[in-house]
Amino acid sequence: MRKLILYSGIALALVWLIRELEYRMIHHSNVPEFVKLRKTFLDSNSTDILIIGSSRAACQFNPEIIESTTGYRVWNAGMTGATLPFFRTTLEAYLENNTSPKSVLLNIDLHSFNDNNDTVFDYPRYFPYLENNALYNGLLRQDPHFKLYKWIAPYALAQGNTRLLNIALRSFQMDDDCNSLTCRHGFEMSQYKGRIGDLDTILYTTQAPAPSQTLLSELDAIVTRCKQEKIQLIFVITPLYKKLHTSLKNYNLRVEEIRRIATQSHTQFIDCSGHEVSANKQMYTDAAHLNRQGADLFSQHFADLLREALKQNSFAQ
Amino acid sequence: MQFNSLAFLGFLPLVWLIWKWLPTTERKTMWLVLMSYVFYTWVQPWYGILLLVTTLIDWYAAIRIDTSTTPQKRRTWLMLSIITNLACLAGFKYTAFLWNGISDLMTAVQGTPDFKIQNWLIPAGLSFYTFQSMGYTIDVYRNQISAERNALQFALFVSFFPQLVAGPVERYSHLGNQLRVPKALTVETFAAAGRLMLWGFFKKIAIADRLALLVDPVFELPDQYSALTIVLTGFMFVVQVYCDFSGYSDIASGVARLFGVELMINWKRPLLSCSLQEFWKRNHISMTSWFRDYLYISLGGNRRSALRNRFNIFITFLLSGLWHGAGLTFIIWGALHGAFVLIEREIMRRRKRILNRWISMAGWFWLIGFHTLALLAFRANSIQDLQIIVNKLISTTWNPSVAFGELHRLHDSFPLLLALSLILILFVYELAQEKQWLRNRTYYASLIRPAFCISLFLLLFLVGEFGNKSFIYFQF
Repeated sequence: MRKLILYSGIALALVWLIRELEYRMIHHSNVPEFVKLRKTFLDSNSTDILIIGSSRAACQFNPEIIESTTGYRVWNAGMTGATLPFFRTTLEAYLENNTSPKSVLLNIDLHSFNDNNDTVFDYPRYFPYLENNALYNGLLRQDPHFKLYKWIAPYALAQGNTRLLNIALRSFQMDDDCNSLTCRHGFEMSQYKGRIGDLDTILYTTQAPAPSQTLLSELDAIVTRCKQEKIQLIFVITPLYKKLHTSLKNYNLRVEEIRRIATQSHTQFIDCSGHEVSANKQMYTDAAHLNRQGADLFSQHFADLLREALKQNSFAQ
Repeated sequence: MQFNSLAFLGFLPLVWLIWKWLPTTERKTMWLVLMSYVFYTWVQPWYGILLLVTTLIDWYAAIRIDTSTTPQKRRTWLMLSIITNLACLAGFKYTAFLWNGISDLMTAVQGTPDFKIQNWLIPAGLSFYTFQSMGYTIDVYRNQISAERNALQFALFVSFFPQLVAGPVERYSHLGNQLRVPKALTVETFAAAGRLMLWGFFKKIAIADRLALLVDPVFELPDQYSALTIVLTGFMFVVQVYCDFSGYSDIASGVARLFGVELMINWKRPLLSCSLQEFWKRNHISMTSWFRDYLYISLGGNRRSALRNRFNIFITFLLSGLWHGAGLTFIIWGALHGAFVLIEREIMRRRKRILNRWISMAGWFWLIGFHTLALLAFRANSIQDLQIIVNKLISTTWNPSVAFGELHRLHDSFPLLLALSLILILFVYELAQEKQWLRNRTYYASLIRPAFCISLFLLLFLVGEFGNKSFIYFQF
């Protein structure tokens, strides 16, 4: 019986050890997606402008172009599948290890107010970074299972699947490109995954939902934190492909609601929903995500608008 | 409830602790029957009603067989049991198949619009417990055992939760007495149970479910892949279905040992067989022996003419295929095995000299090759898909670089390498068991075995696919 208990103890200890080893190896990985996660949640890197949002933020704001126009350092912390609660988590987690940026661009999607906020999209990718307390607490608010993921190694390994193992093993490879835009600025080029639908047959007859009180309070928390840290917060709406834009029945109503929230909270608002790029199918991977060409074109236009908006930074005066 | 679920992780310790604490065998039996029904009805409560009804009918029918004085009355009660069980099985499993077959025939012959129906939801384990129960009544009829008078004891035999849903299909002479007087639990039994369950979970979660990720996309759209890709994926399916099913059996055996019961061995490393006949002595032993004892022997076995014997063998395999699923693809799979077992028997009979090692090796390649090709019929989603696969096998070129490219497009290198590594681990382990390479070593029990178990435990969590996939044989 004693041997049984001893061997069981050894097995559990080894599981915990291997998980820690796996995560340490992931921290050294040059796989762009994980370099971005490390730089956002663990590393200390100074930036002047922090971009927060979902995949649309990640693939539509090219920081290089914005940097060259504004002269400020830009880090794109947009995360695929991120929802409003996670926007707040990203901000708080970033500030855990970094000095406050001058400005935060919050890319609000029309679906930000209807997401199932109990779930975290692709949640295992955050496991190696839970030593960031703000990230951990933010994720815990969304999904109580994160307590198990952090403290019960077998449970976390089981959830993590072989993807994290693959990334950990690849940390020995030096040929992954860590000079990509993702590694240097957090920009992620969009790839067609068929989720939103192709550009010619897209048929959305739904309505963009009204913001719930819970989600509004998350937005309020972001506003409050930025004021505390003396960060200029700017709400941004980026352009959807026009067919999707026009098929969302109350799109304009929702945009006005965001404008109203911005006004009430004394937050700047840049509405790029009508940008000319939205009419051009060639600029899109799918109806909601610009391709690289579209992102560069949009980023240049946006950078000009941003440069003017930054001049109105009340914290800088 | 599935073994690979969090609910079972809580269920098992609770059931075992209370079972251990209960003072008398009678109370232990009642507790296990109750918990077996809870286990079975976890997802669908009405499953329990069907199980209860068939159990009661068979229990009563067996007693009446035992107490009947005339052969006609005995036969009548036996027929009642068999018809009840087969009616349940046929009703749930084959109604849609037969009905839709008639619809297709009438459409083809008379051009009438089809009147097909949806497949019915089959209660989990129906194919297993009906056969187990029928086997009991047939054994009573053949005077091999006496009828169990205690309804609760019989109910436990039918519903004992470790083997209720996917076997092994037990015999009353083997399981009944063990349930009445379970073996005492020692530390060694406990450890052995744990090792069995660990290996079972590893086969299911790390190997079978991981291979499923590679197999399913190809069989969803077989027309998009080359012949070699389909065959390579078919081989992965061979390993997948073996690990899925034998994994379940191992877990069931391990769980049963915690309750002092040794279930029958259901798998004896069939993928190491060197002939089809050997394969069927090692593969799904409980079901194969059931068909042998209750169908093949009832048809006359080898006591009739040579032609009749061949017919009996072929029919047994055909019906075995049908047991697996209500579909032409399963019948074709069964028929292929039946036909090639007969061919193999003829060849072996004419061969004079004893197999040497090299012919054994060739036999292994033959078995794996045939089993892979035959299982393509088993796995195909429909008869139309099977036709596509067969056309591909016959007409397209078998280009390794094309196959590699297709597999690589579907998946990164890592999942493919991982799958191959896991298949290698499986074969090496089973060979080691077969040849007993390490068992006689000095440090086997104190070092080698614990190290292997710890490694399995680690690998289980590192590479296991915990997407809660159900066991393949639940659909049968």
